[in-house]
Amino acid sequence: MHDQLLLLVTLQDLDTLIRETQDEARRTELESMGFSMDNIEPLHTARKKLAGKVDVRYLRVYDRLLGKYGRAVVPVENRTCLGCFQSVPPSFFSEITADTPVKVCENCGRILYLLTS
Amino acid sequence: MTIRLSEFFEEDLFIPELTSRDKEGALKEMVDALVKAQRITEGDILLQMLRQREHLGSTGIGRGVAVPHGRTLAITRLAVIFARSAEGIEFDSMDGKPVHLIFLTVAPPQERSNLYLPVLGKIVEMVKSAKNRRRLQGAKDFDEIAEVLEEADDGA
Repeated sequence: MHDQLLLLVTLQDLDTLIRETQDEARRTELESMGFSMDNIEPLHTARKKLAGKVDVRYLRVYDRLLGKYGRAVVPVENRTCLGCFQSVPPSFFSEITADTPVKVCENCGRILYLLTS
Repeated sequence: MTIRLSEFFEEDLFIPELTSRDKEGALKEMVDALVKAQRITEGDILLQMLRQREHLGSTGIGRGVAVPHGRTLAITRLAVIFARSAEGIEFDSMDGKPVHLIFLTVAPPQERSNLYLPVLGKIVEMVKSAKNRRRLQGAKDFDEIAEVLEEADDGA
């Protein structure tokens, strides 16, 4: 996987976790199970550090998509973008290699991540 | 929604005895089991997410149990990896005690079946029973583990 895509996937996972801490209902549910979710600050620090490693061009796209959709990076599964649920054209698969830079869905513009397992 | 825990545990995602003695090593060993079972290819992505989750607060919930969890793009469907440590692992648990039973639970962010939180809740509920914990720790093989889970599912 291209290192920039790897960073963006990791950033998306971190943003998903941060969002979970901000969702009052979800947070309450997890805390009621006995899970501690108090130490939020290190997550913001980690996010800043991680975002600093992403190419500015891609980060700009990521942040815009995150603001627009809530999720900027989405998987491709069964040849479908799991953001907009439209088919991904065959060219996406023929062009994707370990050196492929970040690619976006032609329909919704979200950053695509090909699930290979 | 009726959740049957026994349906989420798999033999190839069961580690009878962890070799690691610390939290980081245990998490890595469990993520490696997922890679080995070909459930994920990018183990590092998952490991990073789990580390961040632990920074937020330990998932060691006491009574010798930890339930590390989170959502990651690295996985296609919900998975539970169950591991044991007879000696115990320092997990920064709430009661300060080492953990002997670890249930790593991961799900994709786009999971449509919404099983993630109910499964987590069910695991937490199941391990509240001292008898269940004792039986899970003492089980000789996965069949015995499955038996405990099925009995818990049936409310026995």
